[in-house]
Amino acid sequence: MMLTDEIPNIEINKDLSHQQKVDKEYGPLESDEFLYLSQYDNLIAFESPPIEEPPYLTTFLTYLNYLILIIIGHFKDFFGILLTPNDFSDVLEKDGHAPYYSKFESFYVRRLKTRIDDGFSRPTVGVPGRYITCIDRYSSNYNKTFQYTNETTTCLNLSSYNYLGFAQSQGQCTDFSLEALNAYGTGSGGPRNQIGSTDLHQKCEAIVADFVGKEDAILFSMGYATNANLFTSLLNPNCLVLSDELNHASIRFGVRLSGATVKTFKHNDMKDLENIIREQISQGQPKIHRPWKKILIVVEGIYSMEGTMCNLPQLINLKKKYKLYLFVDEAHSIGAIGPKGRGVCDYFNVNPNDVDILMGTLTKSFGATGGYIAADKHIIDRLRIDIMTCSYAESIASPILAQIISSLKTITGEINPGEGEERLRRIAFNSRYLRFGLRKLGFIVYGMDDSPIIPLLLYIPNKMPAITRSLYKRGIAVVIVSYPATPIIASRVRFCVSSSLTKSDLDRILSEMDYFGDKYYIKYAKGKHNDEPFDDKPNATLTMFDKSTY
Amino acid sequence: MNSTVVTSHSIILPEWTNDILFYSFEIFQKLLKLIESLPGGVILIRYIKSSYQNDPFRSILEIFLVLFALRYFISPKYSIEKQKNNLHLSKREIDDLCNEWVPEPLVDDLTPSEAYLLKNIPIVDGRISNKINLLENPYLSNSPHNNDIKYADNKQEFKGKISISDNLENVINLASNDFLNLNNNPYLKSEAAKVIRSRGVGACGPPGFYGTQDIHVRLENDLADYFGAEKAIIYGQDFCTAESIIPVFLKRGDYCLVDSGVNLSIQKAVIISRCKAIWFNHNDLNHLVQILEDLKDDLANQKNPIPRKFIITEGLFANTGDFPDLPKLVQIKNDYKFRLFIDESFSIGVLGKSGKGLCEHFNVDRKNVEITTGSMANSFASAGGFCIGEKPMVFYQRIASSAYCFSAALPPYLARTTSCSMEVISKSYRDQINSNGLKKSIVSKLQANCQLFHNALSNNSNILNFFKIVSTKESPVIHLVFNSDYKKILKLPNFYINENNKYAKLINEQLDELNEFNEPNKLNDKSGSNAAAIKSERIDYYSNPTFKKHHTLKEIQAELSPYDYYNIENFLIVKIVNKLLYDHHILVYASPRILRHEVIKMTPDLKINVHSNLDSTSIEDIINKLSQVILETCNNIKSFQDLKKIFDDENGISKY
Repeated sequence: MMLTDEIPNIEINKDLSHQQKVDKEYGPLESDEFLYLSQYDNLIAFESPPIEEPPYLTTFLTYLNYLILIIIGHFKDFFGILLTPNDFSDVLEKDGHAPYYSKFESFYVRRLKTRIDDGFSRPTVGVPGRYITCIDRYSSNYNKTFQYTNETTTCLNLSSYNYLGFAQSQGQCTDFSLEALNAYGTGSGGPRNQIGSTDLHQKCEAIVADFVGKEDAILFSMGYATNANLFTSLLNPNCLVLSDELNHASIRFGVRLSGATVKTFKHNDMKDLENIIREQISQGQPKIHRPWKKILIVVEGIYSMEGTMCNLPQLINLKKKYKLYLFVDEAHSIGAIGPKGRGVCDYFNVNPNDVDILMGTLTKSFGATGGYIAADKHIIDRLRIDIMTCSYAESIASPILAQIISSLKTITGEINPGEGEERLRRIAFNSRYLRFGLRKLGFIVYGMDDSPIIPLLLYIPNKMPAITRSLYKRGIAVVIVSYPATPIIASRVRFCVSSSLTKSDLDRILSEMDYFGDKYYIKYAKGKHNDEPFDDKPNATLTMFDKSTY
Repeated sequence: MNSTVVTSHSIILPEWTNDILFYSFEIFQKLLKLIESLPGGVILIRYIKSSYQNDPFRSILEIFLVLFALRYFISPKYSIEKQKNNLHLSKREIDDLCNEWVPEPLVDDLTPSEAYLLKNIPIVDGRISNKINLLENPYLSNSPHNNDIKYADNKQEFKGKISISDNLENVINLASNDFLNLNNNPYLKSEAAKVIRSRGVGACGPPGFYGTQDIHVRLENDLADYFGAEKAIIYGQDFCTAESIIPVFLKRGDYCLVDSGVNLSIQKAVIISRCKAIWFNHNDLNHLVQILEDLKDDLANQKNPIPRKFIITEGLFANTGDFPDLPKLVQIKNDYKFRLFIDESFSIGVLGKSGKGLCEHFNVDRKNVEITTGSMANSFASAGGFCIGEKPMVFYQRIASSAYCFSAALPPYLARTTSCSMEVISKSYRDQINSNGLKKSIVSKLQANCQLFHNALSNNSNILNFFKIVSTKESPVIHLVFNSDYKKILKLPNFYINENNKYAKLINEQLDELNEFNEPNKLNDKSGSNAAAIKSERIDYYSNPTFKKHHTLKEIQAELSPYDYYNIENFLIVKIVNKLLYDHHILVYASPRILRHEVIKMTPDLKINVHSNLDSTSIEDIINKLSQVILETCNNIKSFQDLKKIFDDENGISKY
């Protein structure tokens, strides 16, 4: 085996024909049966899907596993520092300087995460479409450093946020962004309020606003920074934020920066939220009892680690009843759900004007990058001159704008009528099919039926490397998630479904998961969902994945 | 009292007590057997028995402990702490309070001065290069929410006035941060196109989850090599780079000394990190040493563990266009065992003979700067930010820095663009060396232009009558602020502080002496008495409400907030910018900084971005036109009333 320190320069897909390349990025639709419309039945009151509990033995083993890992870690640290202090120079004081990170602070990273680091940050090459090509690595020192083997593994891609399959190197979107690259240049020239606004920005903002159903929208060059720098412009220390406990780090950072008081409510628990609202309005600000200036509810459309959705109809009721403001982060839901792909408002069939601020990212469904904020015009006008990112950070580059414009137009049917609708219906089908298949096999799966994020619970930490390495060898790329993104005992593997996958791809995943589920004893919910229908509609003819056929 | 009676009665127990005793004894026996049958149960019972025999009191204590532990585990994890002074309210009272509560609007409507800024944001039609076309600005709200603003009646009137209304063509662009003109470089474009053709546009995932492409890894290596550092890490946006890195390494209990002229990203990062931050006067290393001397004893007491200590400054200040004396700074930080954090966003591609930033400018080894951050959106004509430094520092960011962990990776084509930019800059430097300086590199061209522009400005007495140059001759961003004489005439404060922000107040209290913006050619207005005068003037003009009422009621009809004062000064600059744009088709810009976010003192400034493609004749021409415009505008404005009158006229504010 030839090992190199430098990342090899590998050219992939050399021998493929154009059609093969296209199919590798976006699988062809196998049958019209494999389409579905994602919409919530408004006649049924929304209920957050129940959280299934693992067997007690599993919980016990999870804790035991961590206990052993922690004991071994501390043992190694203690003797390591005594015997080979040179290996620990990073966490020890060095000529009067404190270490960048302390031994305690970094314990989790050094002793737990490093063990499974081969499953993270796998370098890839090429389009992260239906298939993703990873560059193989090898570590001779337990993942401290990696060397490259000059070989690649091509995997079915369930790891990228590519919900509608717009990560492509062929097709109208790429053509348009190349045109924009030629016409506008590579970068953007400066902040929006200095020089970085072009006609393309205006066009794109109008299209985004129209798509989400708001008067106006504003675009930023990074999704994280959109949230991180938004709240300072809306809130002050006399305001209250009611935040779902599972909100994304960017929201938490942004709210912290604003100085507003934060109260968290239990994930999707509307009763808890209402209790807090009543208490806070009646009691006012702590100590001084003056009324709050504004109260903002902050939730996400789809929660990226749980696959659950916010209870939007109920949130809007509460917001109207108590005169609150509502912010919905549609990072994972825009494009991914709803009959027209317009996010949670579309999915629940509520008026987007009932939500004060709709935020979303353009990375996930549109194959671009950046974030947007959509709201009424007077809010956006204020934000244009008041939000930090507009005046200090670089504006979004033109080829990315072109990608956004063309992908949005494809979804609405302005370009290639029919293609957008097919993409939307395919992701709805794929999400449901994979989720129901996994449940049928006896796995514990979190989240709403229509959500394209499917977390499969592993609990015991050592199952994480087992599953990601095994699936990688079989050519399936998945993401493993653990603390700090999830509670420490709820380690999971996450499938991000894309419309670029075909039904036979999903069947392949299900059969592999069936095999490894038995092998690693991770079918914690045995036998509960055997008879669940794919669809409660009467004319559903689809036969679900059946393990007897494999 | 009658205890004897009780004891005598207690001997004759009713029968049912006997039964209860009997049954409970039986249950106890069964329980013992059950525990014995469990693994380890025998040992437990033996332990209880022996401990009870030796010391019954201990057993009671242990039972209490067990019960306490049980209660602890059963009770809710975070019991909601009821505020001590919470009022107890009935349901109806709460309902009433909820009904009565009226929130403030989510955002305030724009004030006239803010609306003016909004409608003067330039919109470029097509590519942003040396010559640009401008579009009509559409950003003004027509929504009914703004109806109550006074100027709303005159909407038709002001629409045609000063806002960018006609399409302007072939405007000389002196506002872009693309100093080396790489944005439309054909090599960069062709390489970027190749990447889009093979990888699409977005990276579609965070770096930790399959969002890292080989291109990103290569860029990190390229950056480390280019700057001579151990490792590099890249971020998706320049503004959030420092904002995210500083909280990783500075936690509660750590120390940082921050230059009080740093950019907003660092200001926010320092505040959110909760470390002990001490601000020193802008570029005043003597003040820094003085603070360090004062801190010495405090720090000497903190041995176990010693806190992390940083000095935070910038390579080329985004706010003022000057730079710190690096060799001296390195000396200081070594003496006092501090680490050095430098944001080189504006100095890369600008300072140093081959454009590698502040270290190269002073011939200091990059290893002396522990953390360097920078922007790839300025000279590199790409997007995103980066951080370079030692291996463990970069390693830890990959798990602890939230803007890296929780956000999608930079699009691969932009990563490739940055690599290519470095290639182009290095190659042009090599060409210069190979041709013995005959063929000038793009960085040398830029440096020469900065020098030319700066010299020409400093020799122009027309401009210097009203403005002073804040930036140094090396800076490609030329900062012009109104000089104190003109400010005195207009009765404007020399600088503004965001007084509604508690941090801004704290920081400016910390800086004991008032520090004028550091200027290379120090004017003689830094004496103590003058500083006091400036302070009183400032208080007069927007801290003292009574003064405002008495003095301004006649001339100024509308109430003005401190922000309005800032915006009105800014208005004058935007007016100059617009006049230059309409009369001479030259685009410079007023700094888009936002007073209500900044915590350091600031003043509106006129900025001119020099780039490498200018030549000496066009520089002369630009400066002549600028001085002409400044004369025409400022000669008509001789007092604050004049300024306010023009402002009101242009914004359609009706006078009483």
